[in-house]
Amino acid sequence: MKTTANATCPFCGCLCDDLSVTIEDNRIISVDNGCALANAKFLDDKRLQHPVIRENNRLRESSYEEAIEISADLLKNADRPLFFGWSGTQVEAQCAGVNLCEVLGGVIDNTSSICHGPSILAIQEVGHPGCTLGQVKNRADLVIYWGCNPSESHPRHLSKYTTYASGFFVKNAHRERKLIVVDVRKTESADLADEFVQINPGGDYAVLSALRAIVRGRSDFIPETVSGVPKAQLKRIVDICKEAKFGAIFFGLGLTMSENKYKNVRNAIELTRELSRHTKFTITPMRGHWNVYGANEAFTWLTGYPYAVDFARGTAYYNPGETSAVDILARRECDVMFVIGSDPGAHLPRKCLEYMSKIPVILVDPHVNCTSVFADVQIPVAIAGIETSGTAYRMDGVPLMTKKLIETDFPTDTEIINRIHEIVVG
Amino acid sequence: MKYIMLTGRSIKQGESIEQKLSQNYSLITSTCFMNLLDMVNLELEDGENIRAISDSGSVVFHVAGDEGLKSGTVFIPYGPYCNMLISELTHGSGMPDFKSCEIEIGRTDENVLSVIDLLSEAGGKEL
Ligand code: SF4
Repeated sequence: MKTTANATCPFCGCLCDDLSVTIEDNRIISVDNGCALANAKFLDDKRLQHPVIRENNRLRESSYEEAIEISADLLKNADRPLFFGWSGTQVEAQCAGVNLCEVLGGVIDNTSSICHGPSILAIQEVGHPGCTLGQVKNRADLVIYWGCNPSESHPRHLSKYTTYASGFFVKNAHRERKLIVVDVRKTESADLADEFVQINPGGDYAVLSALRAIVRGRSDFIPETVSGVPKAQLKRIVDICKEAKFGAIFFGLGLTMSENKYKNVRNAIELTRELSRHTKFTITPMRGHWNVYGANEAFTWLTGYPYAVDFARGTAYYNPGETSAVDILARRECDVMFVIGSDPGAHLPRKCLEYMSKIPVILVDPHVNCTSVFADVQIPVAIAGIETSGTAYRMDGVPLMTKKLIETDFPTDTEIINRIHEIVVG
Repeated sequence: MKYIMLTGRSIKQGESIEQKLSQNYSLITSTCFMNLLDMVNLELEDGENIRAISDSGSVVFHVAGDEGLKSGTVFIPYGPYCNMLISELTHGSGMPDFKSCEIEIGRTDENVLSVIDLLSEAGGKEL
């Protein structure tokens, strides 16, 4: 029996790197410090044991050689292959994926297009006044969660960085740090807040604009309620913000997935900037999947663009809404789909799934999931972040090493991509 | 009456994410949380079934009450059930309306489909 200290958790964007993992006979038997999500991930032991290939509408077992050959052939013969996923694997595999897509002249998108892609669009317009989570922990005396529910999506965010995390300048976090939650739903996180602001669905943009006006001293313009929020509460929020020494806003998909999408995020960034005229304020997206930020980094340094990159013209072209996965599937444009590190079968709209059922789908994933139902080839791999080491980026853009905790005979994501690449280039 | 469907993460959904064809995952992601008054108006009790219909599809869910929801909004954990109702249109943004989809709700005696049966309605194949 051995215990590995300071293991990194490959589940959510907190990328907690303080887990203690106990291993006996090359099996994980317990995890300390992790949340319920980490426990479920580390202790899960059901997986696909062999590659499978669809033949006569049934999946049959195959060797790795055969599954890789077939995948390479499908990709080589495709006019417009779509490579999708990438947030559930390490930067090394993401780089290999971009290289493979480029030689094939395909289009590559990561899950941020259905996650914080709109946040990136907003950041490209107005910049990103962000900071690391360490700064928040040590300095922030006001935390605002907007359109997110960290108690369920990032369970240790509150205890590691905000409400329950005392820091260098915030000695007693629970007493000295105020918490505001803004959401359409009164969640568990809202129950912890000093001030909960419940807005009507689709009302974020109007509420953000109202707050900006009040910060600028123009509350005379504001009606008695804005999207379900009383003016008196909005004024109280602005007072709390102005009194803070260091305010940290965290926002979730409540802004990116509702009406107005990236414009909501742009407005939130501009509110941050407005508040920074009075005191110090920062804003950070609550990145969901553990290495989705890394996918944006790897794509950007290799292609110039963070997601939705199309190589069909021989050079990188980027236009979310056109080159993003949902739109390409909805237009029935790709003729092969390569999926890794995500499960579009569970997370894309129905029309996209209907089209996936019409084209060959190659899935690289350790588990049988909703995409397996559409797959023509599935290649099981080592579990990234538990059985393979490599780089991942935390939600604040800090790169961390994930550790290889147990030995495995399964190949890594990177090995599979590189073997396909070798066959494709001959 | 039209309802706004909000989809999102829940801790139970996250815990079952590596076993998506399990009964447990099916139960979690086919639960539609509703405002308590809205449930009274539709004469629904916890655990009963509804059929939700949008412009893009129609799916049977279990219902459960949630005090935190405003009247006219429902919450469904991320998964294949809610996505059967979401339109593929992204308004040029790449992002579908995962948190602003309008649905209608009616009581039903029909059963909730398993994940495999649900996906086969969208062309999913045999395993
Ligand atoms: S908060 Fe996220 S990264 Fe941290 S232990 Fe939980 S799932 Fe893992």
